[in-house]
Amino acid sequence: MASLSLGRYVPYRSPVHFLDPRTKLFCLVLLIVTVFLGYANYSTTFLMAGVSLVLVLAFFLMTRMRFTALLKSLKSLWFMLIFLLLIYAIMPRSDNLDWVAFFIGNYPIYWASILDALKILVRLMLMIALSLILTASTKPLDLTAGFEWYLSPIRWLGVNTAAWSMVLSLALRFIPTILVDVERIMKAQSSRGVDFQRGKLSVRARALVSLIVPLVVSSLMRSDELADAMEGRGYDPRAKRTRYRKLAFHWGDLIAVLLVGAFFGMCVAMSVLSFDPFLEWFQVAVR
Amino acid sequence: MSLAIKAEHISFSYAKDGPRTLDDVSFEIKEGEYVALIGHNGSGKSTLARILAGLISELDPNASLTVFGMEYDKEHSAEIHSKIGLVFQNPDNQFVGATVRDDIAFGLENRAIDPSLMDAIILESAASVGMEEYLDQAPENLSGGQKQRVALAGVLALRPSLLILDEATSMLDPKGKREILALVRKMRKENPSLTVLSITHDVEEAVESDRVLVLAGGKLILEGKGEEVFSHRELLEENHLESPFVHELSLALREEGVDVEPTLSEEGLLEELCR
Ligand SMILES: Nc1ncnc2c1ncn2[C@@H]1O[C@H](COP(=O)(O)OP(=O)(O)OP(=O)(O)O)[C@@H](O)[C@H]1O
Ligand SMILES: [Mg+2]
Repeated sequence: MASLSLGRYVPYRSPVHFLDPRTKLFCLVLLIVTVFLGYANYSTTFLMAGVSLVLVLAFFLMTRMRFTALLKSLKSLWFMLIFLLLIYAIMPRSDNLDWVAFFIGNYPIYWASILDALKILVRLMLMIALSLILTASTKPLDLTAGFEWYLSPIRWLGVNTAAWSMVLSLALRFIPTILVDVERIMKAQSSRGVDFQRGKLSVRARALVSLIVPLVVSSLMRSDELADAMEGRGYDPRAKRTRYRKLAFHWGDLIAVLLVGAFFGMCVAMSVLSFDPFLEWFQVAVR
Repeated sequence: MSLAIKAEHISFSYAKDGPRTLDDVSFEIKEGEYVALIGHNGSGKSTLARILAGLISELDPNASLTVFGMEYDKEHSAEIHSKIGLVFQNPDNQFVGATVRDDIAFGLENRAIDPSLMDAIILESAASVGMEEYLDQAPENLSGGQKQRVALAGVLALRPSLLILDEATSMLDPKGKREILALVRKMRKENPSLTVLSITHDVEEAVESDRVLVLAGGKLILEGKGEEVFSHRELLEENHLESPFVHELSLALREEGVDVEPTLSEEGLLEELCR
């Protein structure tokens, strides 16, 4: 069940929890852009990645998320690392081919390939961690209210943004329920002799079908009943509704936006100016 | 006393020209009455509940359905809707909100109630089902019985005049079942004009009711007080329904020559025996 805690809201009273979801969404976008900025050289890139990592860890500690949850979600990135290493080893980027790490037979593996793969990996890790912090510290309903606020301009085009945000919040609400279904069906099928772990591709594919078909059926039945329950409680996507949760912008939100904005600005400036702190400040040339 | 439901010649099939899920069903339910609707799987109980709650509106032309004296038409359907509370079988599939608080608020939002009034209503209805300490919990952290209590609170918050329970206890353990039934009993005590239609597989649950309706193959085959309905043992057995245990016991005792009247309650049987 621990793996199912992924992306779930973790109730706690932290400063990050108290921020307005709109603030958090805005900051998330800025921080993700920051994470994907390119810098003057590898040393600066990894220095900035380190700074971002410290920030992310600080948020992480604040929200009282469990580290195991993060590690679990990053576990599957191993696969990604190997994949990226392979790609860059076979097709190294053409600039920076003078710095060979080692040879496999006669084939040179460049440091650039390894560092590029690591760079992408670190970016992905940071992005995942940031998104997890958002979902752990924000109730799904607040999150969708935030989305809805950003989408509200397209309401003038005749799009029912409230209905779409309801769809989104229901999806978020039912993810844990459906994950429990997955587990239940897998157990039931395993007890009938279906093996999800081993076997040839065709066997595994058949095992997957034995999971997906009942899952789709049970989800359809759920949605049928849910529709009845919602209608029975007076939900009408076209009618005017009030909102229990009002989004409110506080001082803390302003401070958060300013801080994240400043960090973003600094990173963009460093990126655009190809600023190298090692050269400029410490007068050492590092790659 | 006025009627909560007056249903006449209700017929319905899901597919056009398909088999009739409901076939010429007519009955009345008085205001404040507690009626149990029993019937085997697929007998049309849920379909009937959906029709009563207005979730299905395409009825047979000669059918007539009046709820609290109002015909189900464009003009009145919103008002009828607002008087009916529904609780379904599966606790997960009716939990809409991310937390207990949000779930109870969902119905209030739909009724466009002023958000500043919501907290008080939410607290009051959560307290009345004993869930006030779980307001900020997510559904994953609640037991089935607790989720069902939240569903009841969500319905209560809307102050319904007619409560329809569609097998609301059938997925719960005996304790959860007893708790829900006790809550319904309490609600009826606090508000004697509350009409309850309880759909159930469980004949023991039907014992509590003022009246029992039996549906089989889309037809209403029996209707009356519990003792009366359960005395038609052959008919019930034909339709895969059994009598409550106490009732069976009293009948068996009678066959053995003990002088007891058939009864549905344990206390009743005791009294008969001590007589
Ligand atoms: N949405 C639907 N579309 C088509 N057929 C349906 C639909 N819902 C129910 N039915 C069919 O209508 C019949 C009556 O179903 P209904 O759900 O009313 O029975 P029920 O008495 O509530 O049964 P259960 O005790 O299993 O809940 C069944 O044969 C069922 O297959
Ligand atoms: Mg049913």
